[in-house]
Amino acid sequence: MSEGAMEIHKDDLLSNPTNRVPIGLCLDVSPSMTGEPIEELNQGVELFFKALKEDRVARLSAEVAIVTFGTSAQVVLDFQSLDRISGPPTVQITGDSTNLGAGVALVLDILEDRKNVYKEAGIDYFQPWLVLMTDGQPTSDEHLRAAPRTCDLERAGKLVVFPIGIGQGTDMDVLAMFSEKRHPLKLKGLNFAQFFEWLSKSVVCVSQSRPGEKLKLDTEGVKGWAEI
Amino acid sequence: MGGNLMVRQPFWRWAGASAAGLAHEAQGIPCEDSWRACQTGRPSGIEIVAVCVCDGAGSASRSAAGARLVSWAVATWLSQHFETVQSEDTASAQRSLVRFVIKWLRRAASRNEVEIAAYASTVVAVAVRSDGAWVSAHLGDGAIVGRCNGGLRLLSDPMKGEFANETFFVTDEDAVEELRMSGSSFQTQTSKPDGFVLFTDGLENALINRRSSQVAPALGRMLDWLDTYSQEEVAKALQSNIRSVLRETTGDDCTLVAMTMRSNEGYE
Repeated sequence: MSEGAMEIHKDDLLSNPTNRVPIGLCLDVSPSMTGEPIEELNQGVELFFKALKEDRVARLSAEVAIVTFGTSAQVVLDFQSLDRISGPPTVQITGDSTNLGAGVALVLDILEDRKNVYKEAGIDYFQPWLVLMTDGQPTSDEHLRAAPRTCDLERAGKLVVFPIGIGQGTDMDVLAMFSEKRHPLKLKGLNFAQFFEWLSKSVVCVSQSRPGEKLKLDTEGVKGWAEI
Repeated sequence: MGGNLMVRQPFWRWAGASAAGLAHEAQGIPCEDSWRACQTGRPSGIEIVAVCVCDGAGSASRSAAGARLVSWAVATWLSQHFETVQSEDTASAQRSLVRFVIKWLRRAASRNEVEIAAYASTVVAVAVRSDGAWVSAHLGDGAIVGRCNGGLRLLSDPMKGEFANETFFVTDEDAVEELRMSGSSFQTQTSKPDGFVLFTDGLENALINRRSSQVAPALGRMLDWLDTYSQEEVAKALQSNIRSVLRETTGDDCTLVAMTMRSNEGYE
């Protein structure tokens, strides 16, 4: 056998897209978030993007969308590869009410759209994540229609939901309506940075998971940012 | 010295290799893939070779043992029941194969006082006969590629759920229905490939494109090696290439087995 006769070169292989993890951040930007809370939130989201970009796999795998809700809901950043953006846009206070239901409905809609994009492009993907953060209580009834949607998807194993309350004014009973599997957690003070650091580690973990593996979250790490 | 020049039945040769994924290696977790080949002869001189590659479920507590046991059970069953599979209806063959595997998993589970789900594993298997007839059995991810008339063809693509970390295992309740069996005796597959490559999901991204059914040229080269060099040399080369090149494309465990048919004229 001649030296080097049986060698595979990279040119002999195919290249397939990395499996995606779509993450929808649904953030409260009602006036009660004015000042320190919105500043800390923006810094936390920036840290989240930075941490994901630093990981070899998550950089290619994670796709983050940001939806904000005040009086109405809007897509501040749609799903896209992290390589395409330098950092997240700064979210700003808008409106004079808290239409939480409209925010969740919009995230679910764009998550569904994104899954269709993956399917059409032949890209494999993990369960989408929904991170819902609010500091108050909804000022409309739209959440009564949005909450059953998240619970139905969660029950079918098609969505992972993280309901997070900010500060003492949060109506935790309303947040609890969005997940049957995961109790809503209240952020310790304004520990957005610790929360988003924990979230990025969880995304890194799932982006490397293999068939048959279940999502294992760092429950000990939750104590770093949540009131328990 | 020398011997009588004779024409033997065509026969099958195979070579395979496994390596723990880089993520597993970094965490000190052993390879949870396994493979087994089983060769049996019939009084007529016809030989059957059955090969099975398995990927133990990452979430199962005895995944490595599960992959070992399932690969042995499937290769054994296929080599012993090749003719039955060819003559029976597919549903009956699927049922018999899964029952045989589960019987052995139950024994192991009972001995170790665990559920059989602890041994959850995928199945990617091919059995071939010296006349070129073949049968495949596939459940879960991983794939089978065949060489037909010199070209490579994806014969059985990975079976996945909606999400990237969802697949099927032989311990699933609906394993009998989910098991995909095909081969030369089935109406849909009439060709007789003279080469096969079977591999676990760790190698999928580098070796096939599921959307276009494209197959990596690397697989053709591996089959060419087996046509040319000894099985031992090819096994070493596969191991070395998986470790140095293929494994770089994934964090997962990697297993691959190649088989080729050789029409041999030789001295005995």
